[in-house]
Amino acid sequence: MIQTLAIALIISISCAYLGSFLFLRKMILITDALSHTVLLGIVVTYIIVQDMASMWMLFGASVVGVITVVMIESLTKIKLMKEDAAIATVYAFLFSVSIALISTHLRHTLLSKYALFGNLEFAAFRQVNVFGNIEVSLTLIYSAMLLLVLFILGTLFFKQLMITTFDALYAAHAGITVILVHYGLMSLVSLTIVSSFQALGVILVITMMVAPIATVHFYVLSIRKRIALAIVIAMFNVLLGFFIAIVVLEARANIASTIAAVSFFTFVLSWIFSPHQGLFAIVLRKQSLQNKIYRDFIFKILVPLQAEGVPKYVFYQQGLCAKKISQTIQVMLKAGWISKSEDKFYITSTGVSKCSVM
Amino acid sequence: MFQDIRDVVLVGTLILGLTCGLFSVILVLKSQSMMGEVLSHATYPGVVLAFVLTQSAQLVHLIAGAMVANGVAIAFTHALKNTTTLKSDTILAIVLSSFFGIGRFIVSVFSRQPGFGQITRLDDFIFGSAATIVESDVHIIIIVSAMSILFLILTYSSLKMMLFDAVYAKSVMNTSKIIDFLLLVLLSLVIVVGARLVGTILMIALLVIPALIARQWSAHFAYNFMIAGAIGSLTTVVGVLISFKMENMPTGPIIVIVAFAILGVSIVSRLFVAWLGGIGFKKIKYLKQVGVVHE
Repeated sequence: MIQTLAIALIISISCAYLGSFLFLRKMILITDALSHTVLLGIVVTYIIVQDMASMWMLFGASVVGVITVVMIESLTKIKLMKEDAAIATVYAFLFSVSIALISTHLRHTLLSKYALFGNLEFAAFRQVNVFGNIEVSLTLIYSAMLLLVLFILGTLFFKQLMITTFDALYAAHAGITVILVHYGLMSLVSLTIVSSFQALGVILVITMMVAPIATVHFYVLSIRKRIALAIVIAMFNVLLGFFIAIVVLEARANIASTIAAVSFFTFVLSWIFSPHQGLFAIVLRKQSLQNKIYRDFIFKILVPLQAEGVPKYVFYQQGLCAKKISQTIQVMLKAGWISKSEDKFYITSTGVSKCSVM
Repeated sequence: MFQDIRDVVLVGTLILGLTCGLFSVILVLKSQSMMGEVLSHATYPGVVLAFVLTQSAQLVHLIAGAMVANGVAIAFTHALKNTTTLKSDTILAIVLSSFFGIGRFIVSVFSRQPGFGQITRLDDFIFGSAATIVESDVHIIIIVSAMSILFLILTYSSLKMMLFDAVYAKSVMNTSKIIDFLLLVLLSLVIVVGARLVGTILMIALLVIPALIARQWSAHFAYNFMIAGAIGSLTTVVGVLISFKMENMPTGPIIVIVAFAILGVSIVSRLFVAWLGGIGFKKIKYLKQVGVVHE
């Protein structure tokens, strides 16, 4: 159980880390396509090698990843076809080839069931001995290695990644091979997907990649902070998903899909309740801005006529919402900024000081 | 009416393919193919929830559930688009993968409970299976298709206007919102019904590829419709026939592979014709002028 949790945590960290870059580069749709097509690499390699956990799997998957990207780009280049249509076509085709292969050649293998939807519980099955007598799952070793590679490459080439993301033209002038960065990133995506397919299944990987960074999007702006926070949120999602699947539902639920569902709900909750960009925050901010505008409007009428006073109907003749104006007047009367005598409104001394402050 | 259940299935797929082909033109011209993907992925949790609530695998109940889920997915997508600064591809990816994940979650929770043993039968909706279709399913397919085709015929001119100049269409007619809404409703109905046959994941191919093929052959709106409809029914029928012949083969993948092969042939032939008409003929003419080639 500990190892399963460790696998899930490590995979979620890699996915969130990589997903942050993909999010910035607007390559989510291609990633979605990749997550489906990489299955073809897995299936073909499995038919040839007959081994679920071989290094060839990684090779096959990255080759298919590059083929996918090349196919999409060449289809888009032929014209008469937008990018999203090309992506949908290519991914549907490669995915159906792999499904056809699975149902003809691999019907009764473990792969047919778990490559698609994943099974964290079984990912920890295959174990090897390291350091003499400690049993460690192969998936754990692979995913830890991948995470290490991702972190090293990400830190080494952070500058290049950022420059190519935000200004590809400048990057080309500065001597960075933009194409190389693009394809390198794409092969890393395929590697991540293939190393996590046993645990998550190829379809749910995309949730793990997008959901954390999109959740973080509502909280912070700086890229480094976003990446760090995305990793934290991904780990939180995994822990909560584990808790719900194992403790609350008594191990009846599939852990991978529970994590996906939990990720979605953290995303939705952040969208609604985030302090700066959440729905509630936006509504409240609009409300307070509106209040301020109405207050200023009333002040603007009252200040030039401090001595004479202003009858009530003047406020209503300006074409603003009558209900809102009477509400604002009530509020201002209560606060003591304006006073009322004989159907005329006067600005008080506190009101004047308040007004000059504003 | 029919001798064999296979004839029934063939008729159903023919009509469904025709409808999908017609819709694909609209979807591709509106560049909303990803919306189709969201709808087809959202179908799965809807179907699962309907099964859990009603405990019956009747297509009508499942369709109702899927329509509700599609509505929720569309509402989510629109709300996220209007209230956040997220890019639309991110929104679509999140909504479609999460909805699918939620569907899997519900299945895994209920699959080990007594009384819900049949829930794994809903996997038919992921990859589609023409072999398990019954006659009442075909009736539903025919009803949905007839409704959609009738709608497309009635609103043909307005649709054309909306597709090519949405702002103008909005300014001259007040029904454009209603037509948009009905289009979405019918589209999700077609997707739900088609998912039974082709599967939710591969449904998108039927909703994109026929239009792309038609686009290679013609630049005329009406011809596009005709070609796409014909290609849609052709691919589905061929796919179903092949999957009848081959054991263990789900229908969806075969249909997509056939469609993609036709697309490849179309692209290559269009490029070849373009080459002939452009460089090829000129080259031959030049060679004749120079005297290398004689009459």
